Amino acid sequence: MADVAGIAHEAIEDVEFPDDSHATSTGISNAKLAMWVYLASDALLFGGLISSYLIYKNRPGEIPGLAGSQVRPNELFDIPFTSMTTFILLMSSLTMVLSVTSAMRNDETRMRLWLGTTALLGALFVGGQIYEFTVFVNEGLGYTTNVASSAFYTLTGFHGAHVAIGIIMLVSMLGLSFRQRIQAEAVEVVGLYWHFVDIVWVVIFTIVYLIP
Amino acid sequence: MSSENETGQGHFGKEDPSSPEAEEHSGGVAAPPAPDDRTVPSDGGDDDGRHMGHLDEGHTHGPTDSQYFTIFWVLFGLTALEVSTYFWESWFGEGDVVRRVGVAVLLTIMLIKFALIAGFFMHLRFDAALVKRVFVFGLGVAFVIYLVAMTSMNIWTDNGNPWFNDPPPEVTTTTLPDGG
Repeated sequence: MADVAGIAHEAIEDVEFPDDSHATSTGISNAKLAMWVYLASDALLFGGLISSYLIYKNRPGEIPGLAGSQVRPNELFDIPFTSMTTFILLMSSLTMVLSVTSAMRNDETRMRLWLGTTALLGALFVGGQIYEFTVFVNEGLGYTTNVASSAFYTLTGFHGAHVAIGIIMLVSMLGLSFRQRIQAEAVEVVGLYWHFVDIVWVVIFTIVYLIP
Repeated sequence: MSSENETGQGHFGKEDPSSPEAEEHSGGVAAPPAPDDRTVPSDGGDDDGRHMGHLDEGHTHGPTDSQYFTIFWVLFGLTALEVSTYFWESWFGEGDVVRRVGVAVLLTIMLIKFALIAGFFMHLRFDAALVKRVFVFGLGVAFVIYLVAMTSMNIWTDNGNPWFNDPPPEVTTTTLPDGG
């Protein structure tokens, strides 16, 4: 009798929570809501970094004792090159959203294709950023050259780190998809993170690179 | 069409919940509705199935793939327009008007791109109101806090940018007397 009850209980659980997810009082899955809360808090982080750059970008040698070189990051910007990496990141947002819709349609092959493409485009972006940093350092603008350079490298470096973490998540998800089932919602949550990274770059590219 | 496809649950791999094995495991009960079908937006529950993950006859409610491509091309065009402002001074000549218009255009395009990516690619436009509130709250708090912080750092009056104000005063160094 106890066995029958146990089987029935298991069956009911399977009906209610078919993919190990749980009903929530908010009507939104915990993972998705947690990602949104994290993204909202990440906005605070990037807000602080962007503000720091804005405060110091025109005062590279203003603080006594930290004067350093008067070279400003914006004197070294290569806008055509950075524009190209911006387009690459924009394309990765498209491939990410196509990956999510493929996952929703249970189209496993295309989901993997788009996940891989997104990771590849993200890697190209990070590669471009590393190249840009290398050029700047060779031009004499190091991390500790002055407060403006420190603020610039901290801001763009944190963004690059976010992209790198996103690539790790994408590659992990791609690898896992060959071994076990991947819930469409998991792809969507990773997609939220990726699009947020793109949104942050939209702001950085405009405020840091394009506005003189 | 399997029940999974109808509900758009979106599993992959070895354990297919609509498979005979899964059905047997769940006591022969037909595959249940997807979790998203239980997800009712908190903004009054007027869910017409637009939220992510709810499929109907194989179509997502929300933008289709072709609409995503359209949004991408709009973003692409806006980014190209943004980049073009970098060359405006060489095209139209240097001047305060060109610069100020350029900055206004850049900020406007930035906001439009932000809204398009958040609204469509992140599905904020189709998601529950709670999600919007959480994200907008974070953005709003960040904006206000750092606006206050930048103001307290005199960025509007002494940022060294000659567009807005006079350049910052020269840094003076004080030499301490020897043997002081």
